[in-house]
Amino acid sequence: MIFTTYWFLLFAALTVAGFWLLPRPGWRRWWLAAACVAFHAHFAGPAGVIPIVVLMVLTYAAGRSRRPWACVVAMITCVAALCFYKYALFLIGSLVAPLSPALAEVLTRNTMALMPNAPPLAVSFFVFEFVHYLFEVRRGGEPIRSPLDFLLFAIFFPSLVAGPIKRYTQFLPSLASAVQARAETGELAEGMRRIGLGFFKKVVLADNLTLYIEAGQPHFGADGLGERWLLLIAMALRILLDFSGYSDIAIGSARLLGVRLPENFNWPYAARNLQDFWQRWHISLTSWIRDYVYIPLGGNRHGPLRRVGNGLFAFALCGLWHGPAWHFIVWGVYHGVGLGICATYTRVPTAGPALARVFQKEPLAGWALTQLYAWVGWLLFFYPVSEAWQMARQLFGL
Amino acid sequence: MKTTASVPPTHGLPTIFQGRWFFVGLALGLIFMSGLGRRAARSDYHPNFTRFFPAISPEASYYPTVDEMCAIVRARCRPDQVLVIVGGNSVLQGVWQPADLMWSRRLQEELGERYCVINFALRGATPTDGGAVVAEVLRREYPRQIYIANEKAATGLFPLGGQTYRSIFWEAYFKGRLLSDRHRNEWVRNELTDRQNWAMTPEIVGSAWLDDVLRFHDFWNRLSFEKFNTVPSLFAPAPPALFSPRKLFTDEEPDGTNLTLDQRYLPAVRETEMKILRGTTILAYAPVAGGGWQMKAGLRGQLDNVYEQAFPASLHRRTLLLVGRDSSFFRHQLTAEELNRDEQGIHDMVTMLRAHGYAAMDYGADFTDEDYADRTHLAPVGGQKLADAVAREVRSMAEGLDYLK
Amino acid sequence: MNAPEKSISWFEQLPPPVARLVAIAFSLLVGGAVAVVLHYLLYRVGLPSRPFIYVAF
Repeated sequence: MIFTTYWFLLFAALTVAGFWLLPRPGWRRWWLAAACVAFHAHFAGPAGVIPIVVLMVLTYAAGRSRRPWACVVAMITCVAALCFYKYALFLIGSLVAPLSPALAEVLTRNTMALMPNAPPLAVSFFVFEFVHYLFEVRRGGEPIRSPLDFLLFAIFFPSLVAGPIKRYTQFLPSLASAVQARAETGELAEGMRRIGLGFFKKVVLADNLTLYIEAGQPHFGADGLGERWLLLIAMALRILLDFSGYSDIAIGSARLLGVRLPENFNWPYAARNLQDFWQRWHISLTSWIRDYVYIPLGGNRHGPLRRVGNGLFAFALCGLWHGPAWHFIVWGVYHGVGLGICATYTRVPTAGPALARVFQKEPLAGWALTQLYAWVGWLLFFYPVSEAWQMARQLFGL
Repeated sequence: MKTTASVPPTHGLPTIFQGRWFFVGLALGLIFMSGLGRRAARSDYHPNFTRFFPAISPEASYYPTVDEMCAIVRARCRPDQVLVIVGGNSVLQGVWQPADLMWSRRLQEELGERYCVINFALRGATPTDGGAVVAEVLRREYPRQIYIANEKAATGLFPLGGQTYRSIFWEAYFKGRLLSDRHRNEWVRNELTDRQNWAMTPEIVGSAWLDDVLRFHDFWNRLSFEKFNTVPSLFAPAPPALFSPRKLFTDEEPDGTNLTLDQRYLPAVRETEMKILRGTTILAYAPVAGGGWQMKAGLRGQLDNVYEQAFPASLHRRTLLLVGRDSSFFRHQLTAEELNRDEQGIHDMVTMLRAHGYAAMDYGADFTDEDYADRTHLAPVGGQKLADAVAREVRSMAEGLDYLK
Repeated sequence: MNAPEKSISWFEQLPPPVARLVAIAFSLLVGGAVAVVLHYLLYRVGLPSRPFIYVAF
């Protein structure tokens, strides 16, 4: 809820004003860097700042060295840090505890002693950006030379907390252009408009839907069928409005500084098939998964079986990224399965092509099926597997 | 959602979205909303106000503002009347007393037309919360005022109040509407500079400053009360109730009059209630040789300190603090020693408060089991007894403060 | 081969003075709407995210 604090609103106003009042590009860079550091320090606290500083230095140094092995080592370190801060306790509980509860207890105790109270702020986002950077440099991309530019890439405050996940080859030119530009009312107005839209979605719509869902969910089973479906619709709308609202605020805030961030949502509930859905939902994450997990695994280059397998793994990882819990992984696999079916159903003799013709003739059918699949999937996203399964059955009166 | 880039102008036409005019609209919009907020705060919009019952309280995510509460007072009380503001917690709010049987209503009847009683007690509040702030804000408009609150024995009073209702204090404090009090200012300084509050301090200060300029709290409170609500709560989580204006929410306080003994004093929680009762003084008192109890020296010093600083010194005389006894149903289950300790605690607190210039009184010594609706809250008949006793004290205070000349 | 005709939006079909007025009005409206949203946001930000649950003790 970082954007919905008075501190952030006043901070953003001050930062934007200072940015445009400064006449020189160099000064603007420093001003923005100082603001990003202040932002991160305020919300992350000392315990949250240290990990990102360490990983930043490591990633920058590995990139500058241009040595492939250094990039790989840095990548592994970043991923290991993410696994430690976010997944260590989950992995101990899920993998070690069933085999040896005593060992799990010892590991848990020792791990918790090393950990801060909460994972470092935005660890999932900045690790993914660092891995992207190192991957690209390793395969020949130009490293970021200026430490200041790298700092800005790493902790750019609009996108630090909840994305969109940036690509440095897009971000840096945009930043370079912004520090040179003159303030234009059109751009500022567009940024404000986007921020207003984001807050409307988040505060007016999503937050109210959240309370409605929290009040309704405990008696989901006791409610009528209509009320259960209403609750599901509320869940689906809530997550879209909440997340896309946050993205709008991030994109709008960046726009106030003249920086363009990638779009993250493109009317996902208008998708007519699951592939289309995932090209519209959390675009920056799914493109990252595609470029740095799915394609390196082989993508669709090794036949349909491998394609489906790669997709399942990539989406399981996508699910896990959202949180350290089995239901997130199952949600990812659920979508991996759906995508696999989506990619291969036409190969089923007779029925496949027939179904394809139906969807072509009646796009609404494809749309309805896609949304039904995605929206029922949200139960897995929000609730433990057993509870989600029960709720799904109750939705269909079973 | 994806935005489309604005289409570049063709043959000299402007784009539909003009940045400059957008900012003009933004500025005008904020000025307009700020004006509406100031206007919203000027008049009372609680025509049927009796108290801030749960559905129009923080329990329902409704946080009354200082101006809102001041307007309630101004609509009901003349400056020539003695303003009696009831603060304190659920006991003085009249839990288990329906609105028409509220003890403060009886107090008004007892005191008569020369007095004006307003019940601003809030559930879970401390003596320095809510009504205390409003009374202080209105000190110039209503120089003849008495503020009433309650607290348990051996309990401190803190200038900034409790967390739940502190927004009312901050609002008045940062708008400069409170007395400048050295002790309280130090409490504020300590609170805002405490390292544990590093995240909250900008929120408190930022919120107060922005609200002072833009008056959003007053405007949206009034809108949610009169026209339509936008904040879901446990009382109205979903449409259509969610959008209902809060003026339609009713005070549904049950009547504690005809409860059976088991309904008043639920068997399942009696043991817990006894622990709470004993807990009031068990840590604060040590036995003395020869029988009896004495407050621990360290605690006495601390309590003296906070009693002195809880309210600005000039407000002590007009503040009446009630120290209540829990229900005799439970007190009769105490051992003789425990009962002595409990009585000592009540006696000491009243004595200490008076030593700091407050008016103070205890109640409940002659109350029966039926006067209570549970361990601590009074049934209507108990509320009447309280009203009678408090009325005597208020009249005495008013005479002593020369309010009746 | 002729290039396909570029479709002209309703806005571009307006006479310039009218288009300017429409643009000003629209921009003012959007600005005002964002002002209302911001004003409301400031109100909601100040409300605790979890309601106060009263427990008698």
